[in-house]
Amino acid sequence: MDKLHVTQDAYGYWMLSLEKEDGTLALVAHQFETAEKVIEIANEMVREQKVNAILIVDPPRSTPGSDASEAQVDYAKPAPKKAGA
Amino acid sequence: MSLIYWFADGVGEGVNKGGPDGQTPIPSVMVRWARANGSPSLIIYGGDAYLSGDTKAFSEFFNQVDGDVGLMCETPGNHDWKDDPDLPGIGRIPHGYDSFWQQHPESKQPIDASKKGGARYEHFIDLDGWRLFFLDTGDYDPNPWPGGDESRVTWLTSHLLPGQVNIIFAHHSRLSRGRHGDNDDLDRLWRLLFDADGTSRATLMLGGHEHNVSVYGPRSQNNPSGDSVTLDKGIHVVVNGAGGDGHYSQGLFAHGTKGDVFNDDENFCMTRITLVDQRTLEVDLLDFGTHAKGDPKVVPEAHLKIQLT
Repeated sequence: MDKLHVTQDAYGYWMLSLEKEDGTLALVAHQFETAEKVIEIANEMVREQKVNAILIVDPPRSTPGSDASEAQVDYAKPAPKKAGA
Repeated sequence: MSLIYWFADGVGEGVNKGGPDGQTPIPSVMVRWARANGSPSLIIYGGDAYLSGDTKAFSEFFNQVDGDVGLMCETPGNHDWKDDPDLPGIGRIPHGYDSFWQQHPESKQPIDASKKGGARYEHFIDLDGWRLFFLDTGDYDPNPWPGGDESRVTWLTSHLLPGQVNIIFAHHSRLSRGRHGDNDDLDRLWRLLFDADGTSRATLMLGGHEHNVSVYGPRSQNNPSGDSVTLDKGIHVVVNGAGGDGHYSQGLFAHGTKGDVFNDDENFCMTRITLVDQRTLEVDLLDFGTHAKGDPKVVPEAHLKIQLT
């Protein structure tokens, strides 16, 4: 079964990564202010696009605003990431 | 000459912030810039007031555009259609969207309350010899356009102007690349934009829904996901759903057709259409970067110049 990982990037933004059974990891969505929208996207993928996956969500670590000054300087699209990493 | 601006998928609750202070909603930065620097004739919001198109979401939208929708219209998005209680005598509608735009007759978004469903919101604007159609594809998942209402088909086909001076705006695009991919259930609409011999009746179809940017060359009636064709047999497709919410990756495992002109899944962007004259239009991508800190840059690689013969 595939895995959908909901995690935060280095700046506190929420992101979604898809891990295939063979271990391949890919970024699906990124730079979201809240986890809520990312979880909705993951559920839509399971419900509507028939992605056979379990959803793994990291606990909140920080909010994007708390790292805003740093993110404004050098934010870039993150690499995909597993929950718990 | 008229200037038209499009942004989509970026207003309401929980959208990204940026600007010089780092705390201004991205859509506010974009709209303020267009008003101050862009001489807009029209600002199109391509749909989705988050989270679910309810009154609260549209109230937030109104604040984010500084309480001024005078130059604005909105093609409804799927999130707007999440707020859809059945109302007696009217039927299924996106309630928050419908109420909001009815309350703003000063806007460019009409509501025809005599009609049902998406037909209530579909309209066209004639500008500088071009006809701009605004269609409602927001109910795509349960009821793809025309949602069982054949009068919408008749209305569209009977109002296309001769030649290719027609431009189609809708939340969903026939082609896109990302977590959604191509919207195959729009194929009927797509085919209506061509004559029986494959001659194109439009120059451009602009949509969002996919939270990124893809720019396509002219795509044909029968094989839109194939190679680009000559303009007389094709329609340019521009996707820009990078209006303020998070982004969808166009990389590994993404669905759909990748743009052959330009792609971006990292920056917040507006699309500007310049109606140069009755036969010429230009399309530019205004890239506000990852945090909309200052003036946007025009992306040369995404530029389209369309000259009708």
